[in-house]
Amino acid sequence: MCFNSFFFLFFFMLINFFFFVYFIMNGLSVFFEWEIISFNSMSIVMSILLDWMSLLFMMFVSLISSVVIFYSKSYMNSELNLNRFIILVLMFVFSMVLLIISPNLISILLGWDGLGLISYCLVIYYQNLKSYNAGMLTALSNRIGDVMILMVICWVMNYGSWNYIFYFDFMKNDYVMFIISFMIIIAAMTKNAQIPFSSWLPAAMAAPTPVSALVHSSTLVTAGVYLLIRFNYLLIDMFFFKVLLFLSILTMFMSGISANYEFDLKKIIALSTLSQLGLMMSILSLGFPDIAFFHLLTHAMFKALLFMCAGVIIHMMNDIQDIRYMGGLSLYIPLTSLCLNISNLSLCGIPFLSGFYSKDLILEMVSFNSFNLMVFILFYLSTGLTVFYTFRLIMYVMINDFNLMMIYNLYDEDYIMLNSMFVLLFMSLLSGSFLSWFIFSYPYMIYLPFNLKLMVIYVSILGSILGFMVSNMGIYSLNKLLLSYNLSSFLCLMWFMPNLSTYGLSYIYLNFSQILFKNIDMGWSEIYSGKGIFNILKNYSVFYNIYQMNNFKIYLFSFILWFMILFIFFFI
Amino acid sequence: MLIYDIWFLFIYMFFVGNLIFVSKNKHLLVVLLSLEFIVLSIFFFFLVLLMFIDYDMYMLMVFLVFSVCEGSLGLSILVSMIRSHGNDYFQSFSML
Repeated sequence: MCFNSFFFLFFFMLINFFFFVYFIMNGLSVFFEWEIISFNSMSIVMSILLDWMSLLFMMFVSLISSVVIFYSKSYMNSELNLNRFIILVLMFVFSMVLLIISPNLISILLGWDGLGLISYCLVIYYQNLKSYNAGMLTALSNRIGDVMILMVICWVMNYGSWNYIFYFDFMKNDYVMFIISFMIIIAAMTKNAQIPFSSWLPAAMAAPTPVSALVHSSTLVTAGVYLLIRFNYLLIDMFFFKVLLFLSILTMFMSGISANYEFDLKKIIALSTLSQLGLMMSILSLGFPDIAFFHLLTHAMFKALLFMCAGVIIHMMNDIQDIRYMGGLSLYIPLTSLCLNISNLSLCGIPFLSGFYSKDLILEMVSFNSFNLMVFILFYLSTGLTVFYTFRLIMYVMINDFNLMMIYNLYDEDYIMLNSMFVLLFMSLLSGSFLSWFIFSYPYMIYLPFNLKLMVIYVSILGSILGFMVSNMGIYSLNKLLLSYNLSSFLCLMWFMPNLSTYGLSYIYLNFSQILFKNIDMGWSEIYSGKGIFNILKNYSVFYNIYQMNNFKIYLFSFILWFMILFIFFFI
Repeated sequence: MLIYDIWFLFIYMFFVGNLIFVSKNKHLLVVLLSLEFIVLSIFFFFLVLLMFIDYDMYMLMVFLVFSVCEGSLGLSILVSMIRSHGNDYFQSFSML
C-alpha cells in the first residue's frame, strides 16, 4: 500500500511539474467547469482552475506527501493498521488538492472541511488521552474557520455566483464585501493558528511524526495563506488586512520567544512553524502575495525535512522527545544530522540555501518600503529569535554531551527513512533558487543602505551567539528560569493564550454546570418530579388506604343519605 | 311521621327499607327482610296508583309473582350460605 501510493503521488508530482513549467512559460491557465445544479439564479458548479500557482502548489504537496508516505512505511512499521493510516493520509492529500484547484467557494469548503476533519482523525491516531485532547482542540479551532467559510458562502449569494474570482475585485467597495473579507480573514487565521487561535498547533504535535511532517508543516497550515493569496485582490485595501498584519507579526514574535523556552523537540519545531506562518501572513498583509507564496513553498520543503529528522531522532531515543536527553548526535548519526543541519540553516536564512531566497527577500522588501517602526523591529527581532532557537536546538541535540543512558545504540541507517529525507534535502537545497527563477519573471529592485542590507546578517550572528551561550549548561549553572518564574512562564506558555481555548472555555462552564447539577438536577427538580411525586403518591395512598378500608355498607349508606337529603330539600 | 297524603307513607316505608338494607347488620336475614319490606311498600303504592287511574289490577298480580320469586331466590342464597359457612354472619364483606 505504501509503495503504490508513493509511486502514484510521485508520478502525479512529475505530471504537475511538467504542466507547471509549460503553463508558466506560456502564461496559460485552464478552467474546467461542470454545472451540477442550477436553481433560480444560483448555480452550483464544480470548477477546476489550473494556473501556475495551483499546479506548483500541487506539485509540492504531492512531492512532500509521497516522500512522507514512503517514510512512514518504515516509521510506522510496527503499526497494525498501517493501511488505515495511509488511507487517511491519502484522503488528506485529496482534500488539499481539492482546496488548491478550486476557484469556487463550495469546493473550497469541501476541501477546507475535509482538511479539518482528516487532520482531527490523524491527530487522534495514537488514541491516548493527550491525543484526544489535542485532537479536540485542533478540530474545534478549525471548526471556527469552517463556520466562517459557510457564512461567506451565504453572503456571497448576494452576487449570484460562488465563483469568487470573477467579481471579487470588481465589487471591492461594497458593504457585503467588507463582511466577506472579515470572515475570510478569520477563517485563514484559524487555519493558520494566528494569535487568538494559536493554541492548537503546538498541541497537535501529539500526532504521529509523518502526520506532523505532512500536515503541520506544509499543507494544513498553509491552506489559510493560500486562501488569502487567492483572495488577495479583494483584501488589499481592507481595514482587517491591517489587523491581520498586527496579529501575524505578534504571532511571529510570540512563537519565536516561546520556542526558546521549550524543551520538547516537536514543540520547538511546531513553534518555529508558527513563527514562519506569522512571517508569511505578515508579508501577505503588507501586499506581496507572490513573495508569501514563495516562502510558503520553500518553508514546506525544509520544515517537512526537519520533522522527518526529528522523527528519526525520536525513534532512536526510544520515543523520548525531550531535548535535554539528547546530545552529541552529530557524531553518531552523520546522515541524519546532515539533513537536520541543512534544514535548520535553511530556516535561519543562511545565504544561498533555499530559505535564504524567500526570507531575505521578505526582509529586504520590508526594509525597502516604508512601514511602521514596530513592524520593522519585530520582523528583525523575530529573525534573530529564529536563529536563536535554531542554534539552541542544534547545541542541545547535536553538540553537547549525550544525556540518556550509559550504554546506547544509535542506528540511523534505515535507508527507507534516509532516502525519503534525501529527496527533501535535495529539494530544500535547490528549491530556493529554482523557484525564484520560475516564479518571478523579473527580479525585485531593492536599493538599501549598506548596514541595513547587512542587518539580517548582524541579527543572525547575534542570535547564534545567544543560542550558543544559552545552551551551555554544566552541573553548577544557575537555573535562571526559576528565578524569574513569572516572566518565564508568561513567555514560555505562549503569553497564556492557550488558556483562552482550553482552560477558559472548559473550567468556567464545567464549574457552573456542577453548581447547576448539584442544585437543580439532584436538588429541586427531584422534589418537583422524580422522588417528590413518588413520596406524595406514597403518603397519600396510605391515607386513602386507611380511608377506604371499611365496610361496603358505608358506601351504600352514603348513597341513601344523599337521596334522603335530596328528598328533604326538594320535596318538602 | 307527617302523613298528609298516602304518598308520604310510601316514601317513608321505602326509605326505611333502604336504610335497613344499607345498615350494618349481623345477619343476612335482616337484609332479606328489608328487601321484602321495600317490595311490600312498592306493592302498596302500585295498588294505590292503579286504583287512582281506574285500571285493572292484573299488572299488580304479575308484580306480586315476581317479587315472591325474588324473595325465594334470596332465601335460597341464605340457605346455601348457611350450608357452606355454618351461619349467616356477613360482616367480613368489605370493599377491599
